[in-house]
Amino acid sequence: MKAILVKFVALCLLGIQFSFAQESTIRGKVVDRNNNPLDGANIYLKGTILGSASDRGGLFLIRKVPTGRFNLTIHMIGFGRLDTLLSIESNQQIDLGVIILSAIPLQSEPIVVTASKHEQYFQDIPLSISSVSAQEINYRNSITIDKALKYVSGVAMNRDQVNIRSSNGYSYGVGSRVMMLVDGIPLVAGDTQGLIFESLAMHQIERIEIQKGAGSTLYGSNALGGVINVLTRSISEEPELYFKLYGGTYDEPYHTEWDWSDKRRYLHGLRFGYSQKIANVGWRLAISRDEDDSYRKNDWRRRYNFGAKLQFDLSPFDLLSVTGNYMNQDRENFLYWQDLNNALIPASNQLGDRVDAKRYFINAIYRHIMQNKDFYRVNAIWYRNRFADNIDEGHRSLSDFVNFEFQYTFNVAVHMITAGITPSYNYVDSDLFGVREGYAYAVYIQDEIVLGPRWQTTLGVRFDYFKIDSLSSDNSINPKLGLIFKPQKDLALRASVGTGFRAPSISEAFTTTTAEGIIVVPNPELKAERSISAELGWNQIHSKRIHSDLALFYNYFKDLIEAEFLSETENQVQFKNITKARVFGLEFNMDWQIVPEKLLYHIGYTFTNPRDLSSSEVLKYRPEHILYTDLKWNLDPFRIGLDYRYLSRFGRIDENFALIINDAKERVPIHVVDLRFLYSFTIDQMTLLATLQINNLLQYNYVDVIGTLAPLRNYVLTLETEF
Amino acid sequence: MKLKFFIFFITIFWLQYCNHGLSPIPRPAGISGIITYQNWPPPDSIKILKLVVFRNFPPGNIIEEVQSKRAIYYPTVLTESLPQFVDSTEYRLALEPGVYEYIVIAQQYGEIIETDWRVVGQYDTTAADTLPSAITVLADSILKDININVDFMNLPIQPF
Repeated sequence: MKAILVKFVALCLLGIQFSFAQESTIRGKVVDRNNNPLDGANIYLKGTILGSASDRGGLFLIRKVPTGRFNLTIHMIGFGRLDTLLSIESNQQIDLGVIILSAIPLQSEPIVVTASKHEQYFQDIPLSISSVSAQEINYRNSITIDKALKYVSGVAMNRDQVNIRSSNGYSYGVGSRVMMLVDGIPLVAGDTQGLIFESLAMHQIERIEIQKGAGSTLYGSNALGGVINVLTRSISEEPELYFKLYGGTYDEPYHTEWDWSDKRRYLHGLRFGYSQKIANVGWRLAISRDEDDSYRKNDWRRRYNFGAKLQFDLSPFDLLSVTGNYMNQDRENFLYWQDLNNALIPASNQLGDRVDAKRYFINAIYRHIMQNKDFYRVNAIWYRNRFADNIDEGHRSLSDFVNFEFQYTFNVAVHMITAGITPSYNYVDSDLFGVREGYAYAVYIQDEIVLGPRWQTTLGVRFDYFKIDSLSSDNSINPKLGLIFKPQKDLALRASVGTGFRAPSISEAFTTTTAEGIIVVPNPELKAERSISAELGWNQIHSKRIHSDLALFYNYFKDLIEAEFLSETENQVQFKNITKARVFGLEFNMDWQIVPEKLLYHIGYTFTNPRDLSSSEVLKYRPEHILYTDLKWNLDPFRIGLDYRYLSRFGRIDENFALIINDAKERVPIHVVDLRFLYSFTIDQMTLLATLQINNLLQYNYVDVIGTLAPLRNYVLTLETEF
Repeated sequence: MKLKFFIFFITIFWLQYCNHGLSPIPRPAGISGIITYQNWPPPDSIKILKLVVFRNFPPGNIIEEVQSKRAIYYPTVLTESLPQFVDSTEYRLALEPGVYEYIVIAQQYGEIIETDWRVVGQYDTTAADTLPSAITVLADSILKDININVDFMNLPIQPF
């Protein structure tokens, strides 16, 4: 370990002192067909680590380009991809002038990295993947990652837990069947294995990719329901300063019976970012502060995030980046309501409950590109979570998660092979879970084979061995097979089948606590969940204006871990391997440019039939129907956006909650309409963007799980600039 | 085409505007409990049995109290009686939120409905004295376990 550290430091120092022999540059301006500058287009030279992103004026600059012939790729969400071959000579200053990208009706980034751990074109992937761009995060002022995921088809947020195509119900913040990654590196809490969506300043994010269906062949445990990969922004050649301020207020409750506060309830925050590159070293700083009075009593929260990224361009073919984030959140705790008639007031035993959390991570990625676009990548992360609360007698918990990975991707004839090894370690010291540790090792290999101009196949397998404290050690072998067939241009048919698994989290196995009337007892007999996942898909660009994607999927789960009340009359809960289940369904997405680059429409519909095969009942906390639509209208310099979300009523919840939570069974289908107006303007050559959002425009009242009313109508005004 | 989309969204808005999802459940305030009986007298001595809840203790004449709405009775139809010659009966009575000082079972023992009443049981949680116990009814909640024991051989002190 020490030797590796010394080598890393040496590489960094070398990078700082390294002076490229050639000082060629490539610059240009990216615009749409109406000559509007495109902010955030990705521009990079294939086979190198060199690249850039266009600024608000659409301008980009790539420095220190070596001599040679390179493919330059320019792409952006919602727009086409442009590839061009460039011959670079020594000290050449290349100005590509104005580059026009045409809007295409693709709902997703044309290039994604999550499916195979390297860049791929959207139609070359045998799985369903959606993405959320930085632009969409900004449009909706998504304060945390989970808020951004609310608009992704097939995804339902059960309070702060993500449910992809009915893989997850609600597990009280403990365990997740979805893996979250930051730049391809797992970011999961060491104790609960839950996803902590606040652990990143949002304007560090370039895009979020969401893979639906089992991803255990590359990502191991937790990825049996899907993968969320958060990709952070690279550092541009030119200095960038970013500032954003937002403030808003909650409306009065629709029903006067719920009006509990004499004061208006506010939410507000600010974001600050700065990035700069000096010689071969770039850095980005991201600071954010969010405060929310909340529309509910005893639900106030304040959060600070301090994020930084250091990037060392060691050579045109070597990149070292180090990313870190520190989050401090102080909040009150609203677990469930007093009753439906007092829906915004918690049960009296929760009043005064507070939780203080500090979460920080640091990761490092070293990537070296060799000849023939072969590359290897080494990455590591340390993620620490600590929280303390005053609930009942008070609790405290500290957990560490450490993960290391070596990945090697190389080409042999028609094969592209990705192989890797990844050990990880968890440590927990908590009065809820005890002092525990767990570790895991995994090796994986995947071969993508181009069988011809129309056929591609992917074969992969991963072996995981894991040991979680006193639980019996176990292992899992997860193969997958994917197939792509392109019978004609702009049409891709896909098929995939694979297996997944999830090792129990330390918290599921060892929690001993009493919280708000619920007694959680440990289960040292807990074992891993397993799944088989299959998908058929049809992806077609019908014209320049319409794109659609249809997926049929089937998932079979065995030994699902769910929290169960031990009897119908007691309030004791235990996590158990209770059931076999299957989920089948379909998902349809369509993007339509009603008026090219002016009026854009997206619809995403997901049907799932989640069944518990032991009891033949529907699985808990899963909506059968999810429908998202959004309409964007560009009236330069104004833009209008309208979102509509529909989720059918949960077919089933934990009936025993009625023993503890008044009116626990009260729930309705979800219909939410969000409206936003955006206006771009310039003051002294500084471009500003002002946004007015009206969330839950129609004051629709619904619960997001049980006994918690979702946000009331709120108005948020945002002002931001980047220069 | 634009018009169709406009109509589509307006339709969604309109449909949703009519529906605001969850709403408070109308829940009457009141009391509920069990009345238990011992030592029933001969059938012809009981005309009507009523649960009567008085705002104040001691009350005035039972009929005056009812007419001035300082007392509420159950069953709510004047001529109806609580079940007779049973060991126990459950009841549930809607009341305005507030304090009620005197909850009794009243027996009409004679033919004259204005005057022929006596108390045969009262809500009393304190064994140390013979005074009745007051209750406070909160909004949106039913006060449970307001149980009354009636012993026809051991009647409480008469307030009228």
